[in-house]
Parts: sequence; C-alpha cells; structure tokens
Amino acid sequence: MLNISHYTKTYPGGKTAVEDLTLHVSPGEICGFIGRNGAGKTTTLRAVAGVMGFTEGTITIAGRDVQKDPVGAKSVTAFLPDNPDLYEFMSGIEYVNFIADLYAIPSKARQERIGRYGEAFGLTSDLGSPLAGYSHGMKQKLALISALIREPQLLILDEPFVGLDPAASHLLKGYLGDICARGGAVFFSTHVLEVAEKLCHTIAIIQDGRLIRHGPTAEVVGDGSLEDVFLGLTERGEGQ
Amino acid sequence: MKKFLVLTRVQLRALLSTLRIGGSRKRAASGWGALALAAGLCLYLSGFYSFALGGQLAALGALDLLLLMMPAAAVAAGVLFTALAAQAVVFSGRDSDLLLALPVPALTVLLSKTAALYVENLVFCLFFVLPAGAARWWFGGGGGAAFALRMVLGTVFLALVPTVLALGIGFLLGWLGARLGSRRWINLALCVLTAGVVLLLVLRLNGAVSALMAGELGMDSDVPFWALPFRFFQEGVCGSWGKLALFGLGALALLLGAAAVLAGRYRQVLTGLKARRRGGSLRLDRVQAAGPRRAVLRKEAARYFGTPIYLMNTGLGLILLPAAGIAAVVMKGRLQGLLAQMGGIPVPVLAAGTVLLCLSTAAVTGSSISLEGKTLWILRGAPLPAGEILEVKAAFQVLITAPCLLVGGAGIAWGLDLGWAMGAVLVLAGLAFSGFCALFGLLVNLCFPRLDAISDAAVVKQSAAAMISTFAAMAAAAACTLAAWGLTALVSPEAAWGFLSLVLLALCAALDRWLATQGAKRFLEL
Repeated sequence: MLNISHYTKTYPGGKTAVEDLTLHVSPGEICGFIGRNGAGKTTTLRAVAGVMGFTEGTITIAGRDVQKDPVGAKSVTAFLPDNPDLYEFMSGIEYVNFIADLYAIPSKARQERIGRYGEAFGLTSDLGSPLAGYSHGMKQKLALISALIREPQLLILDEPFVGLDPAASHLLKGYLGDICARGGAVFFSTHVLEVAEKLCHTIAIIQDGRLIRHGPTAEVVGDGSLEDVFLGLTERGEGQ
Repeated sequence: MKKFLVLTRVQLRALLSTLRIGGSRKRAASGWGALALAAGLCLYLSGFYSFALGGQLAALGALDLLLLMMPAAAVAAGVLFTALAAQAVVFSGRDSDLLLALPVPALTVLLSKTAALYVENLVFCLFFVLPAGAARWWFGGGGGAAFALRMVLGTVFLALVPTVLALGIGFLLGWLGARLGSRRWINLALCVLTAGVVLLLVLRLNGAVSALMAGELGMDSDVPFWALPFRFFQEGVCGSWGKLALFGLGALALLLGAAAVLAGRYRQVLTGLKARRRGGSLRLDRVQAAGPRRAVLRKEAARYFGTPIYLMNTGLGLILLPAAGIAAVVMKGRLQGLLAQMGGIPVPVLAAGTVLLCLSTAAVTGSSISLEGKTLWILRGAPLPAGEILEVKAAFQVLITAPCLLVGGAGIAWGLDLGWAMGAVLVLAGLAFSGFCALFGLLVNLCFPRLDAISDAAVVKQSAAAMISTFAAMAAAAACTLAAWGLTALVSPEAAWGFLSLVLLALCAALDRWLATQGAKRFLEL
C-alpha cells in the first residue's frame, strides 16, 4: 500500500531532516512510527501525504507516485496533522461537506457517513455550530470524521490520540481496525508506546532522520516492552 | 511599567514582522520597499490635497483652517481603517489566552495591544498633518522650529483620538457580532454600517469645506461640537502651548479612561466575544454534493464574507463602484451640466480610469494565501492540482467584481452619455483589469506569504503582500489611464481602451501560465 524508497528531505537551509528512509506498509497493516521530538516523524508523514515536497527518493501510495501523480495519490489518502487547524469561519457540517466535495463523495453516501461517524463521536448536535467555538478535542473529532468519511486506502495520522477522550480513543482504534479489514492501511506517529505496542502490526523507529528499526511488533519488542526497546535504541543512538 | 514596555515591544515586533521588516536582508528589503511604496503614495495624495486646499484657504485668508480640516480628515481615515483592526487585534487575536494567563494586569495587556493600534493611527496622522503643516508654511502661514515642534507633538497627541474611537467601535462591533450570532450577513451589515457612518462624517467634513469655499460660512463662525478638539489642536499648533497641552492631556485622559473601563471586564469581554451561539438543528438530508472546484470557490466566499476585516479592506471599492453608477444615473442632468461647464476634459478616459481605480482597491487575492495560515495543510492535502486551487482563488475575485462592475460601468456609461460601445469597452477593460489584479495579487502573495500572523487584521492590513498588491494595482490603474490618454491622440477612446484591454488580457495569460507552473510549485513549498 505504502512504499517509501530512499526518501531524503533536506530543508532550504541545508539541514537534513530525514535521510535515506526506506519503509513498506502492506494492505491490512497498521504501522506505528515512533521517535523522539525532532527525529523526522512529522516531516516523513507530511511528505507521504503530499503536503511537503522532498529532495530524493520515491513515495508511492497504492501504486501512485506522490510526486508524479499527487492528485491520484491524495485521492486515496487521508491525512491528519498533530494539531488540525480547521476553517473557523465554517460550521462543523460546512467543513465536513467541503471535504466531501473535494473527494467527490456522492450525496447519499456522505449523508450516511456523516450521520454514522457524527453519532459515534457524539458530535452530531454540534455540527451546525461554528468551528470557532469548538474545543480542541471537538476539532480533533471533526477532523477524524472528515478523514473517515473518505474511506481512504491509506490513513496517515500524526499523534491522533492527543486531545481525544478515552471513549473517542477507543472508538478510533476500532475504526483503524475497520480500515485494515477493508484492505486499507494505517501509518501513524505516536508517543504513547503502550498504544503502539497493542495496536500496531509493525513498528518503525526513527532517530535523527534515520530509520533505526522496522519490523513486526512482536519481533521489535521481543521479550521486553516497546518502551524498553525504544529507550535502549535511542539512548544507544545518542551515545554513538 | 516594565511589563507594559515588554508586552508593547512584543506587539510592535509582531507588527514589524508582518510588514517583513527584520530578518534576512532580502526579506527586510522587500518589507521596506513595500512600506516606502505605500508611504510615497500616501504622502503624494495627502500632499496634493493639502497644497490644493491650502492655496484656496490662503486666498480666503483662512490658512490656519487647514490645520483644522486635515487633522479631522486624518482622524476619519484612521477610524475607518483601524476600527475593524481594533476588533480583530485588541478584542480577539490568537495570543489573547497566552497574554491573559501572564501575571500582568488586564489594563497592561489591553494598553499594550492598543499601542499597536496607536502606531498605525500615528502613521495616518503624520501622513495627513505634516504635509498640511508644510503647505501652511509654503503659503506664508509661518513656520520655524517651535512650530515644527508643536506640529509633531500635536500629531503625537492627535493619534490618540482615532485610537480611542477605534477602540470603542471595535468593542461595539465585537459585542454586537457575539450577541447577534455569527451569521455572515450580520458581519457584512455591521461593516457596511461602520463604513457608512465614517463616510457620512467625511462627507459632512467635505460639505463644510465646500460651504466655506462658497462663502456660506463665516471664517470665524462657531465650529460644530464635533470639531472642537480639532480647534484646540489648530490653535495649539499655531502658537498656544497651553491649548496644545490641554488637547494632549484631554486625548490621553480619554484613552486611559476608555482603557480602564474596558480593562475592568477585559477577561469577561473576551470570553463573551469568544462565546458563540450554537447552530440550528442539523438536517443531514440537506447536505448536497458539489464538485471540488466549486467547493473551493464556496470556501473562498465563506472566508471573504465571514471575515469583516478582509471584507472591509478589500470591498470598499466594490461598494463605491455600483454606488457611483447609481449616482451617475440619478444625477445625470447635473453631471451633464457640470461636464458642459468644465469642457475639454477627456471624459471616457477619466471614467474608465475611475472604474479601474475603484477595482484596484479590491486586492482580495493579495492576502488570500496568507489568510490560509495554519489551515494551509487542508488545501495542500486536497486531491486538486495546486494550479487549479490558485485559479479558483483568482476566479473568486473576478466573480465578486463582475456584478459591481456591470452595475457601476453601465451606470457611469449611461450617466455620462459615453455610448454603448464605450460602455461595453469600459466593462471589458474592467474585467481584464480585475483578472490582472487577481492573478498579480496571487503572485505577490506567493512571493511574500505571511502564514503565522497573530490575527487576520495583521495579514489583511499590514502584510507586505497586501500593501504591494494594492499599491501596485493603483499604479497599474494610473498607468493604464495615462496610456489611454496618450492613445486618444491617435485613435478613439473605444479603440484605446480596447487595445489596453487586450494588453491586460495578454498579461493575464502570462500570469496564469506562471501560476500554473512556478506558482503551483511555490504553493506546495510554502
């Protein structure tokens, strides 16, 4: 589903944020992307989502090259940044409808999906209100609804559990499973290692822009915990 | 005091940063360039008006009245341009929570935010009043170091007047907006009402000047109540240190009093303004599908009509254009008489030039990308080519311009008896010019984006892109008018404007090509 091959991102000032990263996420797989602050997680996720260009390498989503066919790649993807700023001059329903228009979701299908996800996240009664009055958690939920109604083949999430209440977090975990059951894939970053350990089929650990570990969760974790493995790897990396 | 200075420095740094002053040499050069362009144009306009008015007043022996009229005009302009900024900066702003969480009194926070507003008004006042002082000196009204000192001091005090008025109006607008709901038409109505009231005051001022010129008012007649502060200013600057001090102290007391009253409930006021009414009941069956391009267009419309500061800063010319067309139809007889008296002026050239000047103030796209701010990820992640997104943004400006242009152009052509051919060419030239301004505004905004401003007001009013796109469009309108004037020596006005329309359309094609290639690339790299 997602193929990242020798991806390198160098910023105009000359700083290399990510170097020669190669990663594969198969259909039906949830891949957790973990690393310290500034390790290059968000830069990679933004490049995969087609929101940011990159210097070297290729990224393909369901066979579509992110740089050569950006529209094709984006049409099967949904991306949520860590702090989703939304259009505050719109109401919730206007925003979701705007996203549905961009992704050409037919009227009947969008009505059904907005109703379903709105009810599930307990947001239906607030959809008519202006986004300017939404709390952080409500905005996070609305952004998730706008991603889920697209029924994406690849869902890219940057710190999706931050700001969500426990019920919404539980719900989201279920929906991630549904996407995989449909043959899609999920690629997300998180600092909550317990969640990553329980939820993800594969784990990728990035340190200073380089992928230092990638594989099935059970293989990466071994007999210990993901926290022990992560701290061990990143401290060793720092020591070197 | 120390805390106030620290906070004020932050607010002023934000202002300078929006103007792109500071940072790298290239960035600072572009910021200073935009500022110099704006300052040059403002000085030219106020200097032209001051010297023209000064000449007439000198002939009537009432030169000192120049220092009553120009400050009044400065205050009117300051209020017009900063009232909405007060709403957006003082009673809103993305840093409000951060500032109110600091161990600093609310009065200090409010005053520090007002300081940025004051600086803007000070610039307005300097541009209006200093040329008036120069004109007074030129026409023999006297000068000298003491006069210059009183002039500068008076202007520093004068800027407090529009600041306190803008503070009051900004609060009122915010309060009404919060109480009446967030419907876009309410925002629109409030903005039009504010502009209408200020324009009415300007017209009354203009009427007073006309009456004075026509000899209907005595030179020493009692000044109206609203003009009393300006009388104090005038007499203070012209020699009375006491009156100058009284004027300054009065203005300062007014500002501090207003700030103290608002600061007492500043937190509650901000909370109240931020509290929004819940929307009505949701009918999912009313949710209808549209294409991606139409969705972006509707989003642009929602942004434009839902952001008062954006609407007012770029919509004034669009309001004036149909108003001028309707006025031309209603006052056709008087206009014809006036034109017959004047004789010899190239009416078709000036009519089209006026239309273009009105259109040049509608620099909608000049801040369209900056206003995306932190929500830019939504459009960049959308399955639409970046070039198409930019084209829709440009199309929105032309779409909102077209009805105003049709009404205004047709009315002006009818009222001035320009003939149907010139009327059609006038509308065509207007459309071509509007397209040029829209595409050029996008180019400028892509080159000078401001995505992290603390408020929409900072982007729309103070960003380098907004200033460059507006003033460059004004310069382009002037250049087109001059070119048409020159061409009428060789061909008819219709042919001259027809030719210029083709030139503008060719420029549109070139800009469109740039946006589809280089512009799209820049958009994705922002």
